[in-house]
Amino acid sequence: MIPLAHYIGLSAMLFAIGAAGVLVRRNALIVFMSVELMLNASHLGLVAFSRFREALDGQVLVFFGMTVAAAEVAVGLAIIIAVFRSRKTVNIDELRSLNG
Amino acid sequence: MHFPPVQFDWIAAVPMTLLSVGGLGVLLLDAKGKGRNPLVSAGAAAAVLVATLLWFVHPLVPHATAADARSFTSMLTVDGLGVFVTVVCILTGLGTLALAPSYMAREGVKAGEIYPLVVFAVAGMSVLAMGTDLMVLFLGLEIMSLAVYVLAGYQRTVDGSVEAALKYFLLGAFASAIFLYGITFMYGAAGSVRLDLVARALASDNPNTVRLAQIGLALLLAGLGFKIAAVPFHLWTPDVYQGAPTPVTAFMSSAVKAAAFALALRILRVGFGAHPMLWTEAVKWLAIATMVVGNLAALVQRDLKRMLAYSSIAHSGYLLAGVAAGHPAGTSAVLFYLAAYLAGNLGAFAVLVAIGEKGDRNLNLDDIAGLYKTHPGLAFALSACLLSLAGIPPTAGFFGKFLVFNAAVKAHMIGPAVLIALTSALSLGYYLTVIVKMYMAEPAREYITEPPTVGVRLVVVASVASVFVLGILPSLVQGLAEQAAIPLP
Amino acid sequence: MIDPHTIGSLLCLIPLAPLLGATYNAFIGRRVAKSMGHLAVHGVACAAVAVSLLVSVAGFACLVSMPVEARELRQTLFSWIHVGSFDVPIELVFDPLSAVMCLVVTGIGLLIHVYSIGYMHDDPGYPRFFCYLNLFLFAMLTLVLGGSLPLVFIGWEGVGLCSFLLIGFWFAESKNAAAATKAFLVNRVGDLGFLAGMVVVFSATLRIGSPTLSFSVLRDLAPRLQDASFLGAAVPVVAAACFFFAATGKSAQIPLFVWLPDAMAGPTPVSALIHAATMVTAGVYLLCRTSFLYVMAPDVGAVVALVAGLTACFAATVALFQHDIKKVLAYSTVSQLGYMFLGCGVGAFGAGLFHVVTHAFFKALLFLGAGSVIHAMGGEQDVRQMGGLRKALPVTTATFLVGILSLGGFPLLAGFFSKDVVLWRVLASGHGFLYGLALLTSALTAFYSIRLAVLTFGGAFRGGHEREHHLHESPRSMTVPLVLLAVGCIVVGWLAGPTWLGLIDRFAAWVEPALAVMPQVHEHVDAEVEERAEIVATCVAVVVGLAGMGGAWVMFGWAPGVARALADRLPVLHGYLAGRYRSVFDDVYDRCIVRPLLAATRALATFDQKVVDGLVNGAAALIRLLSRSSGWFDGTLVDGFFQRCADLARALGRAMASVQNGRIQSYLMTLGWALAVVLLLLEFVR
Repeated sequence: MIPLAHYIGLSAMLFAIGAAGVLVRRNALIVFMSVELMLNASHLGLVAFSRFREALDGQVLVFFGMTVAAAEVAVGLAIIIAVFRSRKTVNIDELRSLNG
Repeated sequence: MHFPPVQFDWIAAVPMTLLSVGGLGVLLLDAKGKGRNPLVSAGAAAAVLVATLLWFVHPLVPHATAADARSFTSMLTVDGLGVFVTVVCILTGLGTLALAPSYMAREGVKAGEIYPLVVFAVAGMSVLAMGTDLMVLFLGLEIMSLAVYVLAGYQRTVDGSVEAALKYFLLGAFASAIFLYGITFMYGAAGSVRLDLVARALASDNPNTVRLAQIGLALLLAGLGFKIAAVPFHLWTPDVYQGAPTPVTAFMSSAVKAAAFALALRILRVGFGAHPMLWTEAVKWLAIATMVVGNLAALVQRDLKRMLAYSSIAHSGYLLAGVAAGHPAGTSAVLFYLAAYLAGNLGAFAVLVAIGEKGDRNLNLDDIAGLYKTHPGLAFALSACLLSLAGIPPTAGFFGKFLVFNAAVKAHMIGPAVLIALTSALSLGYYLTVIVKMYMAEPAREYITEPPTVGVRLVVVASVASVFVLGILPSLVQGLAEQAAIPLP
Repeated sequence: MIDPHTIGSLLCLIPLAPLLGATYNAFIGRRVAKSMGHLAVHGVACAAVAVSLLVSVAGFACLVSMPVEARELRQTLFSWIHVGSFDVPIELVFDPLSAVMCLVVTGIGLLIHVYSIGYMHDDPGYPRFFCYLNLFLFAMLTLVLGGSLPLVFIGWEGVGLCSFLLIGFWFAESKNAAAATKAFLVNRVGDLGFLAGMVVVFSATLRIGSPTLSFSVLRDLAPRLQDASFLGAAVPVVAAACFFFAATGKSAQIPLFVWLPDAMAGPTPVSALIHAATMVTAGVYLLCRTSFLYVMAPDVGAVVALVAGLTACFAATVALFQHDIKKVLAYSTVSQLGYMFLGCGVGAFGAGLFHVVTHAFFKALLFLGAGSVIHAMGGEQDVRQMGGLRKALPVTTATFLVGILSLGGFPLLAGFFSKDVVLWRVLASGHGFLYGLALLTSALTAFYSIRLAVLTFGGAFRGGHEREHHLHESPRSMTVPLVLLAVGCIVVGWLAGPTWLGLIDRFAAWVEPALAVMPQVHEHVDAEVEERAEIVATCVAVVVGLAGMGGAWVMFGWAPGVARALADRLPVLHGYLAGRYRSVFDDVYDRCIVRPLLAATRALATFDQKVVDGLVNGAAALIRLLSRSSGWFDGTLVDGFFQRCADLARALGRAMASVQNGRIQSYLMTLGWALAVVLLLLEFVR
């Protein structure tokens, strides 16, 4: 059986990749996708812990997490579209009129 | 493993149900009217909020008191803390509903979905205030946040508004992901996401459990810090508060903050109440950084909304000091402070709504010069609210600061206590500047002649009245706050 | 016999009547005045003060009729703060000490209200002025009557606020607005002392199990506080030091006196009421009220006395060289406040308080007289433009002379008696150096007061024909208060009739039960010897005072060339004394605090630009924070604040933009770093 540490390691890697994507990519859509990757890292961790503890409730939690992620996508895409309509760009470096 | 008995008390699910079903009803009503009559939607939304409020305060309803909390399974508990914070959020929501119609009409925004969105956000907040399970709390956080993201970007055609929404959304989603990852680790540590079971697992002092819980706690703190706008997680705050429509900013700075503090109190005091050494130090330093940076940055602002945004950060610092102080005095101080802050803050934003103009949304210091000459009433109201935020007696803010200060001293946190006093003195620098400008400078421009609408007036009068009532007779709310603080360990 | 119960329940009228008057003039007065004229404004304002005065007099009469040890009236309005066993009621206390203060504040306040009717007659802000005056009285009376520290603090902050509003009354001139801001900020620095004192007292009483901030309870608890310690020092010492620091702010002592001379920017009745007669005595009152702390901390008392002596002497030397009539009086106020603190410092609280009372009379008289002169001169305040005003302003001249002689310590006038008591008590307590300093100060005082009188009223007019033509005596509403105050100056000193004249010190007998008594340190001296010593000391004081007066008259009245010749012989010294000398403290603050901080700020800014930009934003935030806080300290403590602040704010704004740059990614980056820091922090805590 694959030990728990491997799953958690994979989950941490996914989380780090997602975070790196958030920090370096300039396109709002890609940044957002990277956030979703971070959420999936959490889900993987939950499933792994749940399996390791031989309890189902962790896997149930993942469903809630997925629902939230879906709702976030709906709202996020709408906001990104609104931005594109008003600015004709989704490059987040160009959205800096509010500062100081 | 022995589980505590599970209560299926439907009573506890009522406020949440009322708010979500009511919100859907308002949404349908608005769709049926094709959004042509925003006042109807606003009225309906207000009715939902008032109904929930009445449910809480009506004597016929089984009361949730400190001694007699009611739980819906292990996930929602109607207890003192939950009720107190939910009521604060509902009152803020009502204020927002009263401010929004005239603001939206002036800005030429026609849709009415803003009203059900406010109700949904309040529903999320009530879950945050009453949830006792990390996953439920996460759901509440998201229900609230998703609604507020949309509210912040409500003026789709205005650059600042959509930019604010995108910033808030991307940063918020990032913070949520961190928060969820924190929940994962807590689950790994405790085998459950119920806060009481988390506390019990921690009590075993198993090194693996504590280690995982520590990582989880750090991630949760980062997520909390974001919602609370604690330095250094605060960077989104000024931009978003400035860009969002003013009534929404008022809503965010009062209600979202209150709900986030309920979340923090619940997680830290229920989940980690027996292990304060894990978090007090971190929260104390967050509080110090937040007080100092918030106040210093506010000093150089010229845009009033931005200035109030930094002031809101600074107030988070005082509140965090109360959280770090722990013991009942700290908790009740935080709750009283939230109520006092609501009064002053909502009033200040209401005045900004009243004196703003289309296009000239971003009021800055020079624009309010000599306001006293043309609008003495509004100038007085703004002064009263700002003095309360600055903590000058006899206003609500003074007493809130006093309680937090007192709690910090009791907890032997002399450093933060001294900083509370020092930074409050510092904050006079920017609050007084506004007052001096209003009273002592010549008007720099023509003001609108149309008087504020009934809704705006109502909010202004209610806020100013509460500022003074809470300042002179703080015991009215303080008793409730003290009662609410009892059940937390 | 007046029923104490009835009077007790009327106490709240003393502060509330002026508050109602202020509210009336804030909201309604202006509108009513449109149809009814000024009467609608000052009628209500003066009536409000008259009510306070009447109730105070009734209360006073009531106290007189009570036995000495029971002289106290109380009224509890409601419970204000209630936390556990800790309770702060809104409670007014009328004991001999507050009675004296109430009578002075309301009595002199009423005269100044009446005087303002004439003085402010043509000012467009007429209702606003009376509103502020009434509000000020409300705050001052709250301060005086408050039965607990928080309530006194409300009054304390209130008078600070009113002083800010009134100094900046003519805010259109930026100089006035700057003076108002300076006064407010410097006072806030002092207020920190008050807050700290409250915290010390509160935490100490909390530790002994009965948290309280009420004076009467504290007084009973005082012996138990003696042994408690706070940060390594005895509680009474720390608390007394904190309260004295607070008092240096409000009562203009070294190091925080710098605001008072600038405060003369306000209308003259304000200078008379606030910056001479009442508000500045709040510090002395606070010391008297907390005298039970000072008797337990004799070292603090010595510091108080030393600071007070130095302040008195320094301010008197500055006053010698001023040309602005109000500036001379302002510095003399600082100097006289020094006498009051000197008395308190050596444990003679009654003597200090008596000087408060006499000073209130003659300083109010002098300021109002100066106002009358300025009124006649059409706003001119420079004494070099005056001279010979005795012909045009006979009433003003006569009353002003009474005030000046009283200030200078001319025998048998009010100032003479009170100063004499203070001097004697300083000598009796064995502080030789301080006695010498005080004696020197009284010579200087006598000198500059006569100089002022001679330059203003003696000789010939120096302001040109045009002005001479317009000179006129002031209206009745201004001269009547002057005459009344002058009568007061002649009479009030006899209240503490010197024992060596065979009279009883009624004032001390009245007020001393409300004060703590310094334990006798020196061995008991034979009463007869002591009386003889007192007579000698008085004679010395009289001789010194008369010498000062004579010297001034010789130099400025009899042979005016002498002063000029002296100045010409020592041009450098005279130039310094007449110029930068008075702002020596401002300059020290500028050198020692502002400039180093500004330099550090600049260095940090350079460092920020060149080195730190590449590093994490957290480090940059720290540096900005340092530069900003230093910028703030510059601002609160010094002149020239606005100029520098503008530059600084711009620089800081730029620095600010480096973090709050609007870029989402950099925000996200900070979030990430912060997360890492929190993770590490928790790791270390373990």
